[in-house]
Amino acid sequence: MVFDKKKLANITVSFIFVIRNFFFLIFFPYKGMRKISLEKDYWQIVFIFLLVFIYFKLAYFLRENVYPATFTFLIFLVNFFLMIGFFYILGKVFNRKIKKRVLFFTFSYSLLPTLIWFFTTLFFYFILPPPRTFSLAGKIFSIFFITFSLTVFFWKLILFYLAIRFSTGLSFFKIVYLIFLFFVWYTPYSVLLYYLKIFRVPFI
Amino acid sequence: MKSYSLRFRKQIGEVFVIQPNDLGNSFLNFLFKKSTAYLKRFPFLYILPATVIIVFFIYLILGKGIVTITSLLQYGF
Repeated sequence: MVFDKKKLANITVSFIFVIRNFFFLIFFPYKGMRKISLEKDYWQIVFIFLLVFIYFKLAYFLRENVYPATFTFLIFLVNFFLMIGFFYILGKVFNRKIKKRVLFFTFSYSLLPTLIWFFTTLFFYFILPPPRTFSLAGKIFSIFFITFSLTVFFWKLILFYLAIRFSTGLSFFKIVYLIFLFFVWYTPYSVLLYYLKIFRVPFI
Repeated sequence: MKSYSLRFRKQIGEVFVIQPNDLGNSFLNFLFKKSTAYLKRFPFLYILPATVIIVFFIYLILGKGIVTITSLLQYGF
């Protein structure tokens, strides 16, 4: 019983740390990602992945997707580990000291903008269902939505770069090169997932 | 006093967790440091106005096409 209480306390602390790190990523992305790269508490990852799973469940129930949420989540896990594996293997070419743990933590936390975008899009899908009209209101919403999407996208780019930077320790040009190589195989892979109707917008 | 020293050492260890970026040229290093400094603290302060300008230009170029893009993105989740 004492053990359970301790475990529960640890899990609660992990949850608080996840919230704290989310705030760090919003207000101090560099410092936040640096702190995250030193994390060792795997419960935090469990909470992030739980959020991802909740999103897939909601999307499945609300939009009646072709595939069940568990299947989509499994595909997401495959994508995620493929991505980490790619950066681990190629990063090793430049730097032998790469740790899988750091990659795992930084890339998990870099899912925050993705989660925010997908949850918000899900919300707007029901508040203002598409297709948008060419009316003034439709145009204003479109401008607002594109601005929001681009802002989140740029934030995602920053976190993605920082995740690679802190997990591999490589310099800017090498990271840009790695990201370019990543998109060389990830773009056709995303197109395949699109045609299989698993992900319309890549969940990375 | 001991705890302050420990915290300081921890902080220093955290700061030097990776080597500074080297772009191979001192001018490039300077430019990179100056430009990325703005993105280290609340990047939305700079990203949001930049995005508004970008979207304004997209609207000028695409016109009603922006509405179609929004519809496509809204189906994208």
